[in-house]
Amino acid sequence: MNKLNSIFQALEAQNYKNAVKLCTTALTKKDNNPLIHVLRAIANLKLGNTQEAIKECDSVAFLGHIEENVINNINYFYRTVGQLEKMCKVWEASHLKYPKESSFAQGVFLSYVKVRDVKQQQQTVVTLTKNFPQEHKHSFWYLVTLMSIVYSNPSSAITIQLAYKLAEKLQNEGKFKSSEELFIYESILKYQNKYEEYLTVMQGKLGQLYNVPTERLKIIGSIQSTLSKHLEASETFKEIITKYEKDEWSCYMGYFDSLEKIQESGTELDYEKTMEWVKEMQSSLNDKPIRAPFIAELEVALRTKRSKQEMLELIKGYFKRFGSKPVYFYDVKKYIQSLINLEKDALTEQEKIDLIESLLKLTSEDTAAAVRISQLSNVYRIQRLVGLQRLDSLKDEKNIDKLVNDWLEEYELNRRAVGNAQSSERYPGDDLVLLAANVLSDRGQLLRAAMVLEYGHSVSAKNFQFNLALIVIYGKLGATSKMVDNIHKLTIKNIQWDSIGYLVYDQLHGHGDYAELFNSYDRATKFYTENDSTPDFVATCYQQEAYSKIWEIQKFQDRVTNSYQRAANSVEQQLLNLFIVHHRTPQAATLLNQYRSIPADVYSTAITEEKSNTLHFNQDLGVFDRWDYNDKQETTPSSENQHTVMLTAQSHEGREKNRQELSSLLDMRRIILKLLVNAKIHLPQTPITPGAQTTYANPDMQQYQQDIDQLVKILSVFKYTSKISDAPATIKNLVDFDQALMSSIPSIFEFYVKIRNHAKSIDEPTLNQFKQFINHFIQLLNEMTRYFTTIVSIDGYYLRAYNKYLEFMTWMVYVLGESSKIVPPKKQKKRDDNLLELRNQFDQFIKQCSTHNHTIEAHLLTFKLSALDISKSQPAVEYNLPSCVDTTTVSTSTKESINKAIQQTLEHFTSLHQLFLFNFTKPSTP
Amino acid sequence: MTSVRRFECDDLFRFNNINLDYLTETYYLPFYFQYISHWPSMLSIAEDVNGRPMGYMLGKAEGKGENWHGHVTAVTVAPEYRRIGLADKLMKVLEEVSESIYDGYFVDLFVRKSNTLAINMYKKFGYTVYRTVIGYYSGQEDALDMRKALKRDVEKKSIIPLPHPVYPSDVDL
Repeated sequence: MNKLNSIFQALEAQNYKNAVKLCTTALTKKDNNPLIHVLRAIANLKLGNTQEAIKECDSVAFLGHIEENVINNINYFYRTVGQLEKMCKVWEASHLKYPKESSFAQGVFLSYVKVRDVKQQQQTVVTLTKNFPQEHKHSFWYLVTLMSIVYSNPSSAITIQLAYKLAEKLQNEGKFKSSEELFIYESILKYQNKYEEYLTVMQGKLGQLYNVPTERLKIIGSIQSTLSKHLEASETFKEIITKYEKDEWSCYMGYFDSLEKIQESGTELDYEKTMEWVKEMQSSLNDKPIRAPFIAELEVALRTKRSKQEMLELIKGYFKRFGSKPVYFYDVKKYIQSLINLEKDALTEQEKIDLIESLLKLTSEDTAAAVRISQLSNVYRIQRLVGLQRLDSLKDEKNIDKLVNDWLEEYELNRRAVGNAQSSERYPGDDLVLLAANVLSDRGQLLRAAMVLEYGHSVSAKNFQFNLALIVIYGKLGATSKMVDNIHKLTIKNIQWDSIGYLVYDQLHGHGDYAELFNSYDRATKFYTENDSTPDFVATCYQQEAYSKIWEIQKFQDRVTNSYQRAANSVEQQLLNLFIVHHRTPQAATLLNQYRSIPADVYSTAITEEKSNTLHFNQDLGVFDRWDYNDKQETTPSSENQHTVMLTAQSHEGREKNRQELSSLLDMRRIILKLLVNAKIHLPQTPITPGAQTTYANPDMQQYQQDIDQLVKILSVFKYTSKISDAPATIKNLVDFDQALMSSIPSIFEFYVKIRNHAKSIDEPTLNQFKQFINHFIQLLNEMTRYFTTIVSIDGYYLRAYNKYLEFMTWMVYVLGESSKIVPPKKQKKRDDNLLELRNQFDQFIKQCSTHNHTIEAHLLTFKLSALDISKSQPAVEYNLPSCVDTTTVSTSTKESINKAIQQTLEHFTSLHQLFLFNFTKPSTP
Repeated sequence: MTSVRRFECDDLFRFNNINLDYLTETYYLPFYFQYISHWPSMLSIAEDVNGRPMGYMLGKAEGKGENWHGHVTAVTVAPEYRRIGLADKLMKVLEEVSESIYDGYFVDLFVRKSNTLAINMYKKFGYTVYRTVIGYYSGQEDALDMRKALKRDVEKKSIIPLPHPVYPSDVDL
């Protein structure tokens, strides 16, 4: 026992070497404990000795174990190595040894559940029901299994019949004891569209299994609606509201939907009568803060197409009652939007202004009252929603200044009167500060926006909306460290890496903060690994008889497994690793190992259209609430820099791109990774070119060219189309820069292909083609360098461009490095004049690349050396903000942060220079 | 103007406007699945008219004999939806499920002793302090175990306050 304790302790302390040692010592001829074998396998697995570990676990796993501890550890092992299917064999061995033990028979069944082998599930559940009929749940396991087969193979008509018959039999025998069991029956009836029967079941004795009356009634109402029994449905929903839940909005909607359907069938919906009922509901509330009966007035008015004026009056009336609650905005948003979107007679500009003015008149006049600031927040959020904070509405800059200053002064006044927010709460006027920042940001006044946000954050430190806004603003300003500070404050965890990781990944990439990005990927990977344990909980659902959650959990598991974010992360993580390894440890052996460690499935499968349809976009786009009309506020770019430089498949700006575009982006990055890897890892045993001093890769060049062609095709989706024969266009702004750089990516790899195909000898026309290639790149670099040296200020967009250039040049130097091994050296004895000329051209090109890198770096350095003047990128800043806003500190700290970001980028340039020295050592032959 | 329904796995992707608030913990996946796979009716979520999550409740049923009860593991409301009675509504759902489905004697919850705002809120919902658990929160802070009796506890025995504090090891969780 002591031996085992020590082994467990060593494993827990992640001291795997010691764990292996302890296991080896413990395993003697006398004591050949299988548990210790499994534990040693786990320790070896952690040490990276995967094959050895699998062999050892396999050697003991299928002996027919009964100890839970042994089976659990075997389960952990196989789950970790992705061989969960072996657990079926483990359980089968135990069952074979102890056939009368139901737990082992159940174990076999559940092991098939975990790997979703429905056919085997069916076979084993038949055995279970036959051999252990006394176990109540086995019949329901059978039923769920049948439905799982139906769902996985919808054409299986016999199976659904079988499920239906079995359910009927169980019903007749009075076997249904809980709503969870009834849920399976419901699923069968719904699948067969037997809604009449479903209704009878729910209204009968079985329906009573739903002990909470409203749950049953909601289902009944929904079935009645499906059956077009709208009158009955309306009564059911009404019953829920009047008897049980006066604030249950889904039932109000169910009720109104039913009334509307009745109307469609000929009977006019009686507005007065419906309103009368709504009023009745209102008067029955006894001053409870229940909102539904009041907003129901608006819903009825909307559905009965009442006039704009009536709707506006109701919105104002609702404001009188609930205008001091932050939720007011969300309650009326739908109705205001409906007035804006009216096909005919939509709200005019003047009507919008009148609405805002009349709402303002309804706010408390007591400037020290907490209620006033909440009311103002609602009014001005609506003002933004209706588009009155757009440029064309606030034509004059003075109007903007006045608005911003009014909001901030109001906020400060109220804060002084009421005091700072409670540590656990938001300050009620925070939204006014966020609105002020939005208005400033819309106009490119980013530093002022940051100042305003920092002020609000100092008052209301726990409001994460400030952090979200600051991440974006500091990102645009290029203040990386301050952006990262705010990312840390969000404390993104676990599943959030999948759903809101998009808020940070691309920002970090664009800013070249690779250490932080690396950590983020690492944490995300841990979450994706967590999902490997999800099948265990499907099995738990069977054991706990929580049948309603079985298919739901499986669906969730698929959403995570096929997550777009996960796919994008895996590609980006590998590209990032390559970048870091190239820059930090460019030794040949390290590089080669890095390339070899990349799992082929990360890049080998291009996303076909079919596959992209199976990708799940789990991003939570609603978390950053900007109250914009249609979420796409019209803005005026302060400069051409508003256009983002597209970098990765995780673009923050690109989150609103359509799914097809995102899939194409992912495909593009995948192919780049594939091209990089394939030029490295397919090393032949001997050099191809006689006399060549180094060993180089020998990929299938036909396939390689096809991949390049595919890359060209994808880039054309984004209109990145230029040919090597085209002279690089003049770069006037970041959009041109992006165009020039992105269009040239395939050329990097085409250059490599050309070299590979003409390594032995080269004729005049081919040599000229090489010259054309090299000339194209030189012109491109000339143009990019010229453009970089015209930059007069630095911000997040330019930082993004620098970092993108660094990534591009890293790929370039990598391909040149591989090509260099192929082009014969000058000192080679058997000289071919054309090859010699190519070598000369090649060497010259490398020198020119290096020179360009130095020039761009030198210009970037001037920003650091000079007293950084943010006002160059922020021309409208005069810092005319109220005195409560600390402009100096934010200005200084932002400047410092931008300097740090420049320093970080300069460090990447330093390592790039080293790469261009071509100090590659000979790689070892595999 | 709130719709309450059972919490579903997919809600885990969209509860960020609630969970980014610093008082709400985002747990590991198995934590949520443990609850979902054991007590599916004890988890509920509230949504506004636009389908935006407003708050949610995680609970479970536990205990033996007269200690069989519903337990509030987490009840949380997004900042913008506070002070409209939503926590009360979610608590009532759990109480109803504890009573109707699980036939428990009482519902209980643990709250930081320093969180007077929450304590007062629970008192308003009918909960009383049953006992103090010393150093319950990582040994740093005491917890108050608050309870509300359900119909099954006719004599309201479950909520008679203990005269002395207890240690976490004494708590039958």
